[in-house]
Amino acid sequence: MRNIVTNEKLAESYTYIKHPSGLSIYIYPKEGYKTSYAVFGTKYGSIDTCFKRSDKDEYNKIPEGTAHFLEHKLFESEDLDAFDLFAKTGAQANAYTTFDRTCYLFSCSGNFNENLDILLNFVLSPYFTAETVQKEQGIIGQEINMCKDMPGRQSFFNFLRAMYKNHPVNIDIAGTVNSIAKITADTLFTCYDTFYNLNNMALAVAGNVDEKTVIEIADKALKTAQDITIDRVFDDEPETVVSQYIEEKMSVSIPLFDFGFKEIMETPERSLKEVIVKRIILEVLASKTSPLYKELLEEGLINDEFEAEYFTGTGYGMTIFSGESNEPKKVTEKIKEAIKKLKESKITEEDFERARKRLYGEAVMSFNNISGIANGLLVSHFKGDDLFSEFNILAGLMLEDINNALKDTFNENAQCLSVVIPK
Amino acid sequence: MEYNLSKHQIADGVTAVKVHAKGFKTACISFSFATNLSERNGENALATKLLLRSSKEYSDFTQIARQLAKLYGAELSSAVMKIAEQQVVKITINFIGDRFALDDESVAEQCLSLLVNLIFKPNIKSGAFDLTELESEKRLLLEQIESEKNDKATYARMKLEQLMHKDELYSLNKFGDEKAIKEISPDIAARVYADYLSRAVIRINLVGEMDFDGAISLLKEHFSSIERNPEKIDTLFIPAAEAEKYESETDEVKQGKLVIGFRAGMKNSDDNYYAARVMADLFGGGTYSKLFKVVREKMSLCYYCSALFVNQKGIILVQSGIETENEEKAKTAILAQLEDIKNGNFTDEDLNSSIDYLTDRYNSIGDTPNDLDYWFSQQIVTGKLKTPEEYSENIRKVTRDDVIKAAKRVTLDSVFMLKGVKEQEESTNA
Repeated sequence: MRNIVTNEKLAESYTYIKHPSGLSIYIYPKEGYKTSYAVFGTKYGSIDTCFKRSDKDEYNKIPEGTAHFLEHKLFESEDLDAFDLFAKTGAQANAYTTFDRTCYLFSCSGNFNENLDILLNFVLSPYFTAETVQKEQGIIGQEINMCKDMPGRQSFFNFLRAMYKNHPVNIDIAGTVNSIAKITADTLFTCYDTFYNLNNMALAVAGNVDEKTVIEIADKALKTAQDITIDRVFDDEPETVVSQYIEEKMSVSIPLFDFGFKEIMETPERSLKEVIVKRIILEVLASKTSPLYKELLEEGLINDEFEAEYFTGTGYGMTIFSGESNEPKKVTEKIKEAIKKLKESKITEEDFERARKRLYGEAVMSFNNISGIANGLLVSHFKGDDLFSEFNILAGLMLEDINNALKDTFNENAQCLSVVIPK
Repeated sequence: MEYNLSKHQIADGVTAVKVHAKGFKTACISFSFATNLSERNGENALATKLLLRSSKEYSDFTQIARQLAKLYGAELSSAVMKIAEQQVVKITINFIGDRFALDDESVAEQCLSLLVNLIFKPNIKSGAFDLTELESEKRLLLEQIESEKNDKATYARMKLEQLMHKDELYSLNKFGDEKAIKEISPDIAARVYADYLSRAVIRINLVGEMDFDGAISLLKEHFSSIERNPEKIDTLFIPAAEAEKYESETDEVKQGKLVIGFRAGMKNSDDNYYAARVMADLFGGGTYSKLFKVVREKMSLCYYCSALFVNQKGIILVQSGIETENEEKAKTAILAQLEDIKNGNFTDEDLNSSIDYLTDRYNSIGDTPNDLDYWFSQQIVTGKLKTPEEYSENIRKVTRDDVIKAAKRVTLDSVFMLKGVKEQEESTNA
């Protein structure tokens, strides 16, 4: 299957190909660019801790941090690691794991074909032994400890823990020193055989690339995968939070906070339209254009770090306000007052249009950057959207959509504040 | 992306750099101001922060933010950097290309006009900035300074700089001294800013597509009313270290931070630049580097261990996150890697990897307006206009011998260690 997706305003287009092997491939050429970027990813992240393959009977429950562990191991083979090979081509290679995906990538200004070949082959040739697993436990242990010294990250993950009782968004992506100690080569093979099936994966290339070459390389590297589906299991999540307040003492000078409201998920995932609507609400409520921001800043309650975001994935959705403040509780009171006021007065046409223009501009800007484009293609693929749909949704939004959604946003019965305070 | 580059004299010590590139979705305009690092760092940082707070036309930051949102979310930011022994304050605006606007008005023209308005028409009444805004920005600046200290890796690097450059301007904090900042009054800030506009060396980058001629004449017009008296900017280079200095501190952190400072044997920022660049990269750059391969991968001593080459000051800093008890082991291993390079113990393959990697990076810079902007604004301290492509070509010429010679010039100057303490238990309370 081959499909060309075009956006006239941007004057850009990309090609989608469902490769016979099962892999979804996206090719997004950018005229005039010297660099190319490729990202090869699987819909497998830290929240996928309990699952079953459609052709197997048993469910697997795996240790926290396994997706990230697997990411570290896949750039290795018996005699060398992928970085050695990428080093020879001059490419910049990397990999990352999020809550819901694991991605392997490179960018380069030359040797694209060779690099793509290395990327596909490494990710598709797992090699784990007891020794290599043990060595990685040391390196990841260091990474976990490094993260524990990052106050912003600690505040955020504490927030998720206090917010979610059962959903695995409440675990750290890297796991813990104890949980990764339980990972064995067998665990890795089980996860690999499930999630690294080409039908659960996608490849996106952008920049100085052409379709014919990419397909030739893919034809050679990819073998047809068994067509399976994956059943992911999430325990029921209560509507309320675990705890309305959580704090940790760290070596910081100003307290940091994350504050937000948990949402009930009627469907497993929020649609792109729902996400955009929430972002517009947050833009009007708490961006620098808002009366709330002005009040908080002028009363000395926040600094430049303050921001509001909408955070969602399979089975979870929440609004989050984060920043630094000597009085985090007072900040949350002000936010709640502003929410109440906004719900009473409703969002005006002027505020809505300004927010919509800003989101439109941000969307245009994102098409400058080939890494943003390629990663965006993967994210929208795993969500079942196309990369340009944001433009159409934005153009079609009505003020009424926003004000209707506002009524059900910010549920006072499911709020939580996480702070990191000085020792 | 192909681009055309030209330099235009706007006023004494004020240069505009035009980077005309078609095909980007965005464009950007930036003003960089450079002055020698001094006791006045705090005053400069504070006065320039006030520019983004309000102006004669925009009564408060909400009005500025609303104008930016209307300009399709144009992004306005300011940054304070230390480049060589200069404090560089940079104010940037990024915006979408005019062809994506939903009406006929030029986004570029309005963004330039906003920027010029903020810089040349500050909110100064009766010779003073607004007291409330000043106090608020003071608080923000002080919190920014504190917040840098909270990042332990940055903190350890700052401590190393203070130790290594004790008697050099380079040891000064780019944001200034906290005590001095607290004492600044609204009228002093206004005087500081007037003086700053006169004395700073200024570079204005115009990147992407816009009416360049219109922009340049607008800039000339605004600068014509300013009496310019630009500073001569200069940086002290110390080619070789004397006795090794050491300092450590203990903090309640889980991971220790080791920073090692070297003098690179340079007399100025161009001195043996290309060979030193490759050498530093082979030492602690990409995954083929000695520090990555041996100290991280083979010895599993750290999660990160890398060498930062600061050619503008002729130094190399190795930064690493390690278990506190491994300090000696890590230090010995790091120094041994440098010795290896001095003795020519590296493969041609790794050398080629380094050269390929660096040229690849230089070649990528032209693909985003922000990278181009960053590249040309960094050169404010040398006054030069060199393209990444030129660097790329010269890097290709570096030989094994050049690298060995560059390594032999390197001397160990200072070591700083931030030690962690073992904690009794996790202190998370729900």
